[in-house]
Amino acid sequence: MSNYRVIFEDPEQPEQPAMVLVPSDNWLEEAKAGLLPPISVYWALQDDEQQAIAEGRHDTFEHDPAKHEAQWTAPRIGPLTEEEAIEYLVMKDIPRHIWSQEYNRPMFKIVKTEDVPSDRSFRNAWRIAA
Amino acid sequence: MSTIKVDTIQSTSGAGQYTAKAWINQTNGTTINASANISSLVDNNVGRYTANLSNALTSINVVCFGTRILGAGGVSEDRQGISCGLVTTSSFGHGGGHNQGNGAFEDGTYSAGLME
Repeated sequence: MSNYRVIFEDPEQPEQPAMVLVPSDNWLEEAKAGLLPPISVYWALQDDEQQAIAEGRHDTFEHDPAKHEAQWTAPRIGPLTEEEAIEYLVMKDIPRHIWSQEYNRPMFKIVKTEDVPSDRSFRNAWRIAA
Repeated sequence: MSTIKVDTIQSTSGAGQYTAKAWINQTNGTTINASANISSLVDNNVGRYTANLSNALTSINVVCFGTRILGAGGVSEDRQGISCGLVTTSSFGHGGGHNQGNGAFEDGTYSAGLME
């Protein structure tokens, strides 16, 4: 099990409590084994899909076959440490506006797993501590 | 590791075989018990979760399926189901545990996935 979690908030959804990202052990193993493509492969897919959503054609959208195939055919980036893998995962699985822009307070934090409260009381009111 | 790529898999009787493109079994959004093609799980709120895919699908022409296996107290409760949230080619929301009494989302152990 990963030693890390990522806590983040979405400035576009201020009423939403802090969210907690849990890395998959299977995916982490792939990252450590050097099986991941460059992050730009996923960004290209996300950009195309976001454009389709913005243009109201998400229901009929299909990825460009070459870009989709790049998930498997692009040169691998090599083995990552767990810390590097978590940083990669932030850029892959957390919406880009959360980590790519500066706000007046941090919108995400990488924390140790044991630092996430196990008591889920008031879960719908969690916030990132200042 | 080797990869097998084929267009169609059939049984000897000729019936098509269909597999999940991604699936997850998780508890409370905090623990991934088992999964396939999942890179991460996001605990959005009580009973509301997002599974992110390791490899994106070609389209959202998929079926989201799932069930709630155990309630937060570890008890099987047949009156509570699952709802699928926003589906993209790289993630799917899921959650539920609607109680007959108040309709509230609840934590628990959920299995959910996508078929294409």
